Order: sequence, then C-alpha cells, then structure tokens
Amino acid sequence: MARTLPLVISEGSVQHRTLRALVPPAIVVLVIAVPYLLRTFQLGQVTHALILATAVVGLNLLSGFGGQISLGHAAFFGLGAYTTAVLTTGYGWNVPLSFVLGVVLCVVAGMLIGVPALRLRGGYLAIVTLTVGIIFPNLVRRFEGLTGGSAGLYGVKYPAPDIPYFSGTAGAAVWLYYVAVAVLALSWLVVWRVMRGRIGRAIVALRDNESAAIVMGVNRAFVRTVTFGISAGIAGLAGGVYAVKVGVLTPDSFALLLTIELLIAMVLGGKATHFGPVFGGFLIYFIPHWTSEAGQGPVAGVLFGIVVIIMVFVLPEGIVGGLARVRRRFVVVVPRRPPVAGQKPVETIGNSRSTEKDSVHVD
Amino acid sequence: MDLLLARVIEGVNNGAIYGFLALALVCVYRGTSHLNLAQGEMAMFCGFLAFSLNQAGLPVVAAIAVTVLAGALGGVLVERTLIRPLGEHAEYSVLLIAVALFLILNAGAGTIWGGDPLPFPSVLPSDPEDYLPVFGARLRYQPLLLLAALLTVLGLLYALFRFTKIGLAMRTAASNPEAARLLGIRVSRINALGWMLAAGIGALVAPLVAPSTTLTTSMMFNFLIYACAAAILGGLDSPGGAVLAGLSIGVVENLLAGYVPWVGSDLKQGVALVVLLVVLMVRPAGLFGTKRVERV
Repeated sequence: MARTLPLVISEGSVQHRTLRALVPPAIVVLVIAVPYLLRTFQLGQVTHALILATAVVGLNLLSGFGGQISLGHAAFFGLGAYTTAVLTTGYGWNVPLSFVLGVVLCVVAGMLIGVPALRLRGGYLAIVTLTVGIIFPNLVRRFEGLTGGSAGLYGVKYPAPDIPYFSGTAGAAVWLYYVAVAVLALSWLVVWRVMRGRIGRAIVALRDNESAAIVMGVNRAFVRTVTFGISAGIAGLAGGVYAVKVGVLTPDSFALLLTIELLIAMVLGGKATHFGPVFGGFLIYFIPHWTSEAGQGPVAGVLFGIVVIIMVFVLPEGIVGGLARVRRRFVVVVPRRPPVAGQKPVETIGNSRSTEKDSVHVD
Repeated sequence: MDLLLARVIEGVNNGAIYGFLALALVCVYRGTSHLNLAQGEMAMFCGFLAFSLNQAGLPVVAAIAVTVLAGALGGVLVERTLIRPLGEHAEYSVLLIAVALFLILNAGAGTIWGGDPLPFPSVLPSDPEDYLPVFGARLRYQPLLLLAALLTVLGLLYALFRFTKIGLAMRTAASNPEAARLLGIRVSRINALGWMLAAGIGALVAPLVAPSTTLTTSMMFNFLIYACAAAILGGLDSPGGAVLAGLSIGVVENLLAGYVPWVGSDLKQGVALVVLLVVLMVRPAGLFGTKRVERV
C-alpha cells in the first residue's frame, strides 16, 4: 500500500487508452453543462475567453510550435472582425459566409507577410510583424468610409436560429457561446491535425534547427508560408466571432495591446502545447478582471504585471506544464520503445538481450 | 525651400529621439538577443523621477544626472532579479517579463504621479523667441542639446567598445558568448552592464524630451515603436547604425507626411514601417548588422 502512487502505466496499454478515451467525453459534458451552471453575463465572459483562446490557438501554431514571435496577430484578428462587420452591416451578407471570407482574406494576408518573414528570425521577425500590427489600426482610421474610422462600427449581430433553446436574451448568449465553442473546436482540430502530420514535424524541425531541417529536405518557404497562413486564418476566424459577440468595433480594440495579451496568454497557458492556448484564453480574460476588482484604476495594471511576473517564475512551462507536473504525482505514462532500426523484431538468439534492454529503464 | 528645411529639421529632431532609444535597445540586444519592450517605459519612469527630484529643489541638470544614475542602477537590478534567473534560452519568458515591466512601470507612474500631463522644465531656454535662425528655418536649443547628447553618448559608447578592456569583453560576449565564457569573461556581468547602459541612456532621453512632449505615461510609446524600427534598420547589434537609422527614419517620415498628401498624418507611421519592410527584404540583418553564420 505504501507506493500506490504514482500509478505507472505504459503508453498504448489498455489503461492508457482508456484514460485518453475519457478526455473527449469529459470535455463535451463540460461544454454542455456550462450554460446551465452560469448566469447569462458570466456565460458572456466565458464566450469572450473562448474567442481569445481561439486566437491564441492560431498564434500558438506560429509562435509556439513554430517558434516565430509574432507581434502582429491583433491585425489578423482585426481583419477578420472588420470583414465580418463590414460585410454583414454594410452589404447584407450572412454571418457564416462573412466568416469564410474573413478567413480567406487573413490566410492570404498571412501568407503575404510570411514571405518577408522567410529570411528573418528573432527580433527582426518580431519587428516586421509589429509593423503589421501597428499599421492595421492606422489603415482602419484612414479608410473611414468603409470601416467607420475612429468612431467605430456599430450593430454587428449574429441572430440566433429560431429554436426555443436560443430564444430571448439568455438564449442569445447561449447561441454565441456555442458559436465560440464550435469555432474554437474547429481551430483546435486544424492545429492538432497539422501538428500530427508531416507539416507539423517540419514546423518543429525548422524551429529547433533551421539549417539542419533544410538539409534534411524540409521545404522552408512552403512550410513557413503555410504556417503563417493557417495561423492568421484562425486569428481572423476568432476576430469574426469577436465582431458578432461585442457588436462594436473600434480601431483601438486591435492595437498592440491585444497582440501582447495573446502572447501573454500563449506563454502562461503553455506554449507549443495543444491545451495551453485554451487555458491561456481564460487566464488573459479573467486575470485583468480580478486585478481590477482588487485595485482601482492604474493599480490594477501594476497588479496584473506582478501576477504575470509571478506566473513566469512559478510556472515557467505554463499552466499545462504545471498540470503535467501535478499529474505525474498520480499517473506516470511510460513511453513505448520504438522498434530498433536494422534489427528484426523477433530473434531467437538476440531475444534475451533485447528483453533485458526493455526492462532497464522505467520512469 | 524654407519649408523643406523646416521639415528636415523637425525630422532630425524626432529622429534623434528614435535613435537615442534605439541605442538603448541595441545595448541590451547585443548581449542577450532580447528586445526590451519595456525600454520606453523605463525611460518614461525615469522622466517622472527627474521631475520629482526637480520639484524637491534640485536644479534640472543635477536632477537629470541623479536620474541617470538611478536609472542605470534600476537596469542592473532588473537584469539581476528578473532576467538572469530565467536562464539563457527563455526568449518568451523574457518577453513576458518585459511586457509585465511595461505594465508595472506604466501603471505605476500613473498611480504615483497621476494621469495628467506634467510640465517639465527645459535645460536650455526655449521660449518662442529662443532659436538660431538658419536660412529662415529655426533651430531650437533643446532639440540641439538632445542631438548633441546623442552624438556624445554614441561617441562614448564607441570609445568604450573600441578602446577599453571591458569593451573588448563586451564585443567578445556579443559575438560568441560560449567562447567568451571559456576565455574567462563573466558574460552574465557583461549582460548586466548592457542593461545598465540601456537604462541609463533611457533615463537621459526622457528628461530631455519631456519639455516638448510634457510628462505623460504614454510619452514614450510611439517613440519606442520607431526606435524598434530604427534598431532593426540599423542592424540590431550596431550602435552607429541604430542612430543613423533613427535619424533617417525621422527625416523620411516627416518628408513623406509633408509632401505626399495621400499619406497624411494617419499613415505616416505606417509608411515609415513599410520602408523598413522593404529594406529588410533586401538585407535581412539590417543595414549595418552582422550576418550570423551557422554551422549544423
């Protein structure tokens, strides 16, 4: 009884697969339960956090998995938001179609910016993307006729379908919540698929050692532009939902501050992890709320900064890293050994040696 | 002609501010490859500090001198307590620390000194009739002082890097930290020195700029963006490049805004940055930056 914890299970075993299979249903149950557990305004807050989480999922593909710092993601978020807002209020498009066009525009914009970014890295890349982030609000102000300029663009809505569950003010909030959930789930799945495939391995290889990856046959230009495109597209999709959620767009909502919030969210949640951005989206929405309740006016900003510093030091790997550390106290998953190259799996003579090797290292 | 000259002069005045902050950015970047996004706020905070010292009865020049020392000390303190403990390959953590510092200093200054802009006394006379007439344009004293200070600091930095032992150590540490460490150079101290220089430079800029912008918590924000652009354009590890790039960005931006009506004031920032993009397409390491050679 003394050492029941941590529970050691090996990768691919029945226990491991059962544990993994429990995760998706648990998430679905949580998602369905939330509207019943929270009041309408709290649900609105959760929706907002989900939208931010979606944008962070996009940013994480580029900056987390790809290791390329972007200081311009607010621009893609804003481009998506303004596309939806302008098309639905000014030209009578329906909302889903405007989301699609917003994503297309953002993918194209992202790939265009990916081109100069090909040769740049570190601080240089950060500044190029910063350029994009700074120019976007200026462009919005400049093309006032289309975007409403500094005064803002009003009345963006996504009316709920005619189902009793979504009726009334409370129902409308539930509707937007599900839209945000759907968009987050879609974006999350896209990134998950990308990272599990060939491109995903190429992205990580380019991050870890660019020259070596190219020598191994990774097509840098293709992978980088595609990464930029997908990342920007997801941010744009999040922006579209943001537009219908808040209803009012001003250029200042998409200034540098938003990009910085997204970056904070990515790092605090856990960069280059799949669930990190989701935690990050909630953190970046709720921490400022808590700090502004704790301190009035500018003091809230000081508190927020202090919280960020503390979290960087306490959880250097982000929330996901911290949770993994806690989980290891209870369950340890031992990776399955890959088959040794050049050696046939079953050998009569070599058998004893290979079993010996297998049992050497547990934990 | 007069107008052209006036616009160039105004461009140089702004460019000197960009170049000054860019110089500070370069001091940090050379050592650790960190872009210190809190640089502007560190400078701004020092500006307020100088204001308080001046209010307490110190003459302006003395107040600025004390502030520069305090700023340099603050820079070392930040490096030692917040940056160094994170280790070497913690780019994102350092980025977050810089952002957090940004917030703390910005909001902190707002808490201590209030949100209203404060007037800051200028070092040299700057009444409307105090200027040097040059071909009908007006050279004002305070911006001239800023430019002179910028060139002096650049000269001192150059001398430091070029002629002193510690400067040699700094260059070694910047070009190859591993080898520098093997040679017995305390690289972490060199990095702290970089932060010290940067913070000190920032503490000098803010009080010199403040008379024209007034002291506000947001006074440095736009300047910092231009300074980033200038540091990049010059090449992130070249002090001279940063200053030159800062001055050119100031002039180009002002001329574009003045002579191309389509640009106007809304897009003047954007156009300056697009020029930067174009330059980086051709020269990815900036105009005077060192290209990194990589081995696999």
